Amino acid sequence: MASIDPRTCREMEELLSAYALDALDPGEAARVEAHLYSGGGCPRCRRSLAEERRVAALLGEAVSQGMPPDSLQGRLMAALGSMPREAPTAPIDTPLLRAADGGMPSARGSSREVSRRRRIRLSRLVLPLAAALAVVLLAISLGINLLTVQRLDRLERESAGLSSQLIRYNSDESYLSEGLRQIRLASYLIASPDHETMTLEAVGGAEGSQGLLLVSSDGRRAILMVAGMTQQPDTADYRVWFMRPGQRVNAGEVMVDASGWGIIILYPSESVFGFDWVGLTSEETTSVPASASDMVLRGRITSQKSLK
Amino acid sequence: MVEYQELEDYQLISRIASGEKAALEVLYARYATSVYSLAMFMLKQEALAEEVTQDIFLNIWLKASSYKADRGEARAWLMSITHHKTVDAIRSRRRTLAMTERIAPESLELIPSRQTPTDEQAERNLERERILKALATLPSAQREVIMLGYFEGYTQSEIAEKLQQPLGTIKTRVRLAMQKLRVALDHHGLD
Repeated sequence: MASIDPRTCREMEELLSAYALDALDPGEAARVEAHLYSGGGCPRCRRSLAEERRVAALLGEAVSQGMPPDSLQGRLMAALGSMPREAPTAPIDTPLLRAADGGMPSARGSSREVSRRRRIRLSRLVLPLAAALAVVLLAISLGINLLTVQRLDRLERESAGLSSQLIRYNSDESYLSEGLRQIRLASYLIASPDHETMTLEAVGGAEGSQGLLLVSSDGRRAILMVAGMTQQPDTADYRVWFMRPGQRVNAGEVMVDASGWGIIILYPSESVFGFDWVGLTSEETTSVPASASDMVLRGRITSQKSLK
Repeated sequence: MVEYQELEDYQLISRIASGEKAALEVLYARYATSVYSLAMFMLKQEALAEEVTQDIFLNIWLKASSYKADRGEARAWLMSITHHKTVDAIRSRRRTLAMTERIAPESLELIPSRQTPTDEQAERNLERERILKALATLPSAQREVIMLGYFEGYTQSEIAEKLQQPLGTIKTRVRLAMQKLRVALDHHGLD
């Protein structure tokens, strides 16, 4: 193991408190992690970090305690299923796991054009996963879902080998990680046997575009996937609305890549099944849309269970 | 016959690494409340907190063999993972929707517990009171950066921008706050 420069340790110790709080900026966090773990890392600073984490963990236990619903344990054990594990290549508390799971905050201040080019580049990586997800949707099979989770896990480990590039590519990594995280969450929902599936169809001139809305049985979680959308000239965002007579609720924004594909996880403040329609407008429609003609995609919200 | 309930946390994690689901069930029984409570407090949405909690325990199942006992207590390790994942979810959500409300320090005390008090819960409540007292010993400016950084998931740069203070000032406040918390917690007999 290479000797550790004491000056580096002093510099790192200044950062360990914020690191334990997950409050470092991505570049600094990557430097700390390289010092802690690369090539055997620095045992002295790891001990200091353990102390900082002990304090941070106590903060985490200062919140009022509430039990999760009983059903959560059942869902967890069902998700484990026969999921095999492979030996991990990086400690669970290293940044690489966090990065691969959506942990690195996005770089700020980059231009939309640069961001768009990154999306196009990254879409080459995300799209194959989306294609895999589409197969899962058709099959609605727990077995296929587990394979997807395993594949994502393998990607996490592969990304662990790229630590030295993380500093330069934080923004790109963040986007990719977010895509992986969304697909993973989608796979959990798809694995749930009682989710509902609804389709969105093009309105007006938006021919060739389509959408799919998956909703959990309680209506409190939903995943919207769109394809064949037109990328906006100045923005890649579309706004999602839930609608019922006299009311339209803004549910979030979905970013569309160069291929016209996009996904968003929705956590509506009330059940989706309390609404009649779901629709998309272009991002320019920032307030409540004036009429249904603003919509580029629209779908009826129905529950198969209620139809039976 | 293994009595999983009798095992220490690090022993459970070791058995999880060997693929023993019963060990994960016991670890879940011990920590699901702490994990879910922190996720719920930070995210303010039950469905999202449930997703994050499930994701955390799935990751523990997949990565248990990476736990190194010499790097700290299992409890701190698990809460650290919980915080990472929850902050990930917050930052992800922040990219699409603005957070609607700030978390005030007082809110740590105001949210009612849904749990029926038991001996174990009563003990935890006492511990929690001690942590809150330690937090209360901090000057308000230091408490504010802890609330924004730890409970709301902002980075130091974001806090500096939000409070319109130099980044160096925020870094100093974070460091001093953690030092004071450690002293205060140890003074109250927590180790």
